[in-house]
Amino acid sequence: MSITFRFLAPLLLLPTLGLGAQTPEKKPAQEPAPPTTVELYQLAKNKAAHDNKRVLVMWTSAEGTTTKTLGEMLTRHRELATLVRSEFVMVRANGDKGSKDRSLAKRLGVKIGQGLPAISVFDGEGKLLAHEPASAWVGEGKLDPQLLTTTLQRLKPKPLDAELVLKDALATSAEGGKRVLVHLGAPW
Amino acid sequence: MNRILKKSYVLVKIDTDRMTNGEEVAKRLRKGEGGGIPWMVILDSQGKALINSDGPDGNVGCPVTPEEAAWFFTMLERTNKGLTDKQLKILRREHGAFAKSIQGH
Repeated sequence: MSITFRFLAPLLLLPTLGLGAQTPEKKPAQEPAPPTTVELYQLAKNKAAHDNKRVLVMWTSAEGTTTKTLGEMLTRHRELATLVRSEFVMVRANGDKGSKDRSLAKRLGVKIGQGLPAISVFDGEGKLLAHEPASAWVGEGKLDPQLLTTTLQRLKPKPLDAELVLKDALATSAEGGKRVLVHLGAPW
Repeated sequence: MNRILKKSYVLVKIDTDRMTNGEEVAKRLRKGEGGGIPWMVILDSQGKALINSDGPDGNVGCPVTPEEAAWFFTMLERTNKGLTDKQLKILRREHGAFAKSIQGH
């Protein structure tokens, strides 16, 4: 797991309520509220910018079984799941009409329409690179993981040169009077 | 944690799988010695290694246990440029919460 993610993880821990001002007895600590989709998208965007990845938003639908099939493909299909885990930070959002997450779509400039499930891909700056409904990857009447892999291969970021990354970091540290904390790690 | 760490450090991830020349840079930083990842090293602005995540009991990796965290904070205490005791205390507290959340899974 990326240490960056681990550093970011505490941000998800929303503050819990402590003792009431006039209550002498301890109240049980409340469970922190789960992060909203907007918060998850923001964390994903930060991580994508830091790790040279893309943000993949999967717009889900409660109707039909395609959402489940697509979700399983993105997370379990060997080649596809490896590609997603290495090059993308994935966020699931409810694309159904009336869902709260629709406001996120509007904010991100995504027109979902009726084509659900779908995926949107953004760069680390939040620029929309592509939006495609699952119908784009149908071959012989069913979702074809190879077609989706081809799409995501096209959208993945160009690899950075580690020599240049380190050189830039050293230059930045010299300018700012800082040290460089280097983390050697895998994509996840 | 990043907010405080960035006051004293430029944070860099070298992804040996995805980056071109990643393996070469990793080998150079580790001085040819192999080992697992994650692994960390703190450099001065000339690229000289000041300390790395190989603690008394080996690489602390992603520091979660109290022993691993202790070495991670030794790394920070020995190399930071101007972090206050208060900031280090906040880092310890936030790291503790994070470690707890990881261990809970």
